[in-house]
Amino acid sequence: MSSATTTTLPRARGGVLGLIASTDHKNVAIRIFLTGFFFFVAGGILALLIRTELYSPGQQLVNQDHYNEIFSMHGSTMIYLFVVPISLALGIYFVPLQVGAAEIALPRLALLGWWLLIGGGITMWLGWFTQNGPGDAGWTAYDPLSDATNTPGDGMYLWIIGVMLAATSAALLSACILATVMRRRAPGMTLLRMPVFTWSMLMTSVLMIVAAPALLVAMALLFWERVYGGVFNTSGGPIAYQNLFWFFGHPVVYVMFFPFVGAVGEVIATFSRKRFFGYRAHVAALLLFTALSTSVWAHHMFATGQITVKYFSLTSTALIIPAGIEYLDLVGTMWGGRIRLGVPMAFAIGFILQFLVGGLSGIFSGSPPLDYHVTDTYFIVGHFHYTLFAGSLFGFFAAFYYWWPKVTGTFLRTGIGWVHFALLFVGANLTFFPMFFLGYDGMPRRVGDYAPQFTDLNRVSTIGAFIIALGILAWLVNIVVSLVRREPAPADPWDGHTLEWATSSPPPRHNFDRPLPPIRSYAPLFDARYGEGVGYPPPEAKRSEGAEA
Amino acid sequence: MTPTSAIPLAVYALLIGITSAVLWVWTPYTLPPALLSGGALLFAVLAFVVALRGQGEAHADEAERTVPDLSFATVGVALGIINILVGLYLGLYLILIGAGILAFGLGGWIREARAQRRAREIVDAP
Amino acid sequence: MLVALVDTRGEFEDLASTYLPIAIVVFALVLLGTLVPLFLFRARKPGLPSQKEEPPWLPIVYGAGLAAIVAVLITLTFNAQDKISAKVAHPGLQVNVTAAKWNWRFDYPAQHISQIGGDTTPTSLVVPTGTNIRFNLTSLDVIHSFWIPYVRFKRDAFPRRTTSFVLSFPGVGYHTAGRCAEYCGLKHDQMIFTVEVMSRSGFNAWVAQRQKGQA
Repeated sequence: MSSATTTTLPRARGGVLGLIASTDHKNVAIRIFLTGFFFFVAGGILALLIRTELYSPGQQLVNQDHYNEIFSMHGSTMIYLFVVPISLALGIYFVPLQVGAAEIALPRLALLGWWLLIGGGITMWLGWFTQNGPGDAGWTAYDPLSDATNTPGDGMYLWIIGVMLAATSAALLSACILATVMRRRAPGMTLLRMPVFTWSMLMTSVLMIVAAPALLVAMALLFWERVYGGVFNTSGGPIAYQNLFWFFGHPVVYVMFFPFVGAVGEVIATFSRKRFFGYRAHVAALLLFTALSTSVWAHHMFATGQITVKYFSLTSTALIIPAGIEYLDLVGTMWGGRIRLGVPMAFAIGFILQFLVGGLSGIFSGSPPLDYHVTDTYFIVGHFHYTLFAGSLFGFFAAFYYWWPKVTGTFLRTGIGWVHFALLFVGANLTFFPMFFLGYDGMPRRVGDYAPQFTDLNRVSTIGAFIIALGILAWLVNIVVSLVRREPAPADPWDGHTLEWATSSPPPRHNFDRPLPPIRSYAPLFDARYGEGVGYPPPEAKRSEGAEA
Repeated sequence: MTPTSAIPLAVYALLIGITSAVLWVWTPYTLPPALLSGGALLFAVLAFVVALRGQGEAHADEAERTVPDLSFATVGVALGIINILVGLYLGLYLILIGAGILAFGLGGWIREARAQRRAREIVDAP
Repeated sequence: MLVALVDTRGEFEDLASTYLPIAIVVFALVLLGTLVPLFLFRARKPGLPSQKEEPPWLPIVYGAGLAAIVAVLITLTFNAQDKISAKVAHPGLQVNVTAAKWNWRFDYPAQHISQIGGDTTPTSLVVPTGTNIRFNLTSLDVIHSFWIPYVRFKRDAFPRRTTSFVLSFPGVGYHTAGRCAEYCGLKHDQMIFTVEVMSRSGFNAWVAQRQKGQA
């Protein structure tokens, strides 16, 4: 290699080259989002195909084989290639800003993570071009269904490799976020002065890092099983696969939840003009939530009869405690505030209420005698779409409308935003609420055909799905209009509390274009601007003036 | 940063250490508590590493300021890994191609690291 | 002496009748909690509201309250779980269930009869009412799941192992549906069976008839 004595670091970062190889965490995050968005549209089209097929009993649109491919790839795409990546992308963009860092830690790992995501997505979707089609053993790929005998063909192999790449991507992105929180906080930002969103991202990263190895092992063993056999073909083999898979599979759903509850916390605080309520309880709850989330996974396996149901029922039901505390904090921030009800706030409240429906149905299924009826039915499909779509995705849109001005330096249109919200709100509830009844009444999941008595509710659900599609269209229209006819946004359009608002919109290459305000609490900008003036001095300022991190 | 950074990791490791201990006692099966204990161990180690490295991370900011704005080496590493993994199914030829690309990518990383060190020496020079 | 019947449907309905109202009340409280501020605390004048810190006892008391709810739910759940998984020393009937892509077979070992459906007819599980019936469930290939919605119960069928559970069927003289509830490949959505619940005398007559037919 060359041994030049002067530095030869390229400085140009724009254009096509920048698109490919930029190490600016903000660029990386935007590109992860764009990649995830692409797969969201692909997975969404698959969803519309599912709902169209389910409009009537019998097979009309696609044959059984294709239907099974469609729902398997819908779930796999949405989870591995959309929600997990954008959950982490939010952190990749905003954690360095919120902790006052000029740069993310391990920036090249973040870039690597993005590229591995692309590789994983393409590999998985290449399955559509193979003779037997893409991996169609569900997003869970249980053995023996996913072995070479029961799901032969290239597509399943490509699916496994795609998942391994996506999982590695997620683990690397999480490592960057974790390292940034550990080592790049600005002076004065102790752990208990980190914003709520940053704490959420820290625990998200913890979960992804503890979970990814289990998934990678499960996938590697599955791959070996398909090529050589002899891995899972014992009486305890299939359940071992499920333990490995769900040890990842449960934490991953919290990876898809924590970032959004954190973002919603920021939105609520900002638009209630109140510092976040119950911060310390929230941090404690988050730690407990993370530990419990790691300890509940076998509640996905109650019906197997091969796990200790009472233990996992106890840990699962105990989730009420941290969840309830977090909800108290979100609601408590609103009470006594001066609320500005804009589009971000609407999505935030939608998140709170709709995620709750998902959470309550989760507690219901955390009771084995109840779960024995509702597991593997449309009740569960309703449950996880309430948490993931009506919940997390609404939280994502709250974050999107909130942070868009910071990222682009422009405003999104409010009118179109309300249309987007209204369509999505109606659509999501129409689509997913009937599913609780369908499952309760006896409709299993992962089926393209059903008994005639389930027709009416399925039709309501299908109509809802197309309303969702319209809502997503409205969102896209808003993005296009806002980028074409720009309404410039200042550094801090919302009177925010946290450090990302203490720089230009968009931020410069090394994040801050001005000195940071003193950091005395989790709402440093709020303190700097209003400080003692509102009769609430931050207790930290009194206790430890100028303490270093 | 200071060793206190490691506290959330240590608390997490402790909490799932507790849940895993309870599971060891409660369940006749081996794999579930082993998984949970494995997680606790992983994070106990991570907490320890973070606490150790926390001592004396001077000029940490400067290290990142010298990361190049473009890192094609990283893209090479990515393409190498992707080709190797896909090659595990499609065939040895692809694994070898991937290994080659990976080698270029890793070499590029080494080159970038050396350039960064030189840049820091220039910046830190008296 | 009356033997306790394993009543999965009854236990489900009892438990659900506690869980559901609690869920509805919680939802209503949070709904009020988020919607009322939109009216009470709407920003009508500029400036900040007072920033009261939460009283330190609040999260502790509230957390304790939540823990109490958890304790109640867990107690009810564990009791119900104990009842439906109680050891039944002498079930009135044993049925061996074999699942395979994409059909079911029911063997009655003591009666030496078997039920298996045809190409267009689902397999029929015939059972007597009001009796503890032990099912021994296995699969010949992938994981399936034996689900009878009417009794609110399902259990997964795994290859290379047998899992046992006890059910009883309330009421008499009806048909109800059985479905596979674990995705098992191409015809998962067609892997159904029917359940026919007869009186005890009716069931015995049916057994006798099947034995003659199979002889």
